Amino acid sequence: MNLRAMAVEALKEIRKAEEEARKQIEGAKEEAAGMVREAEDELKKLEAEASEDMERRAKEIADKYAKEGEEEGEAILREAKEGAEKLRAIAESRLENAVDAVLIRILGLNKQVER
Amino acid sequence: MHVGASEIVERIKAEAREEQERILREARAQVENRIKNAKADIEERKKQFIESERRKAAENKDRIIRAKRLDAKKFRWDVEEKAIKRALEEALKRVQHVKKEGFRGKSYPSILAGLIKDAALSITAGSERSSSNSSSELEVVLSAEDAQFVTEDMLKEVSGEAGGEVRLSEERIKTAGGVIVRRSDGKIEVNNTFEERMKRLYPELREDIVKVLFHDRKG
Repeated sequence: MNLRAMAVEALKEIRKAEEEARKQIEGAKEEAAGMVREAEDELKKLEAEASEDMERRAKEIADKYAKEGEEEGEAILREAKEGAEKLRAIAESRLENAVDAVLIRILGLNKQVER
Repeated sequence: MHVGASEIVERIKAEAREEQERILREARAQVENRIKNAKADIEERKKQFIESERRKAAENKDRIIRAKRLDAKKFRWDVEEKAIKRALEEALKRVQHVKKEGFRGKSYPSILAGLIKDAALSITAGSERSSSNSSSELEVVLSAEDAQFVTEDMLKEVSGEAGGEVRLSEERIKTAGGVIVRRSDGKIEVNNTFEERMKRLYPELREDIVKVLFHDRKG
């Protein structure tokens, strides 16, 4: 092979290597972009899962506290009803005394006593 | 291949490999970093959101309990209001019994005389202050039922104590009992009917009833 042919052959090899290198780098860039795309998808999925999780937990918390409130409130009401019933019975047993107290005032006997 | 060219090709290949590895390494690092940051951000947002929801839920719980406490108080108020109303109604009903049997050792006529005297004294005291000529003439207005309890002697006695002439009016009113006393010129009137006294004395009556019915007694 003469010198000129050898040089041409060498140049071809170099161009081929450059082209392969270009393709290799291009491939790496595409692969990197794919990784980023996959990461974006994963992030969207994570956001969606987090959003669902937060919604579910918010409902759980709201339900738990509301239930506690209702239970404590019902206990307060039960106790108040019992207390009111006792009070009503006491008031009933003392009604005659209260009627006397009213009569003393409306008949004007408190003033007469004072005088 | 020419030795020089072969070296160039190898160098191109090596550089391409390095570049490829750098690109992928950086991409992996970038992705890992973004996911790590995003996860941390999500966790922080979750934490804040849950805390905020917990606070809201706790406030709601408190609101529910406050509303129930208010309802609970209403039970007591309801019992008190009903008992007060009942005591007042019963007292008015008892007036008929008082008319027949008296109350606490006092006959109904003496109770009426007391009410007439109180009213007459109020009017004469007011008339003295205003120096009116008709201050000495007072008329007593009653229901037909109560008029029968009033005697001339009673009016004479009241007239003496009140410092002016007190006479029975021809006019009759509808009332459970008690009396209206007015100056004959109609300018001053004291309404001592039981219904009116009940209205006028309501705050004191209420206080008396609550004291008797609901305050704890010792001994």
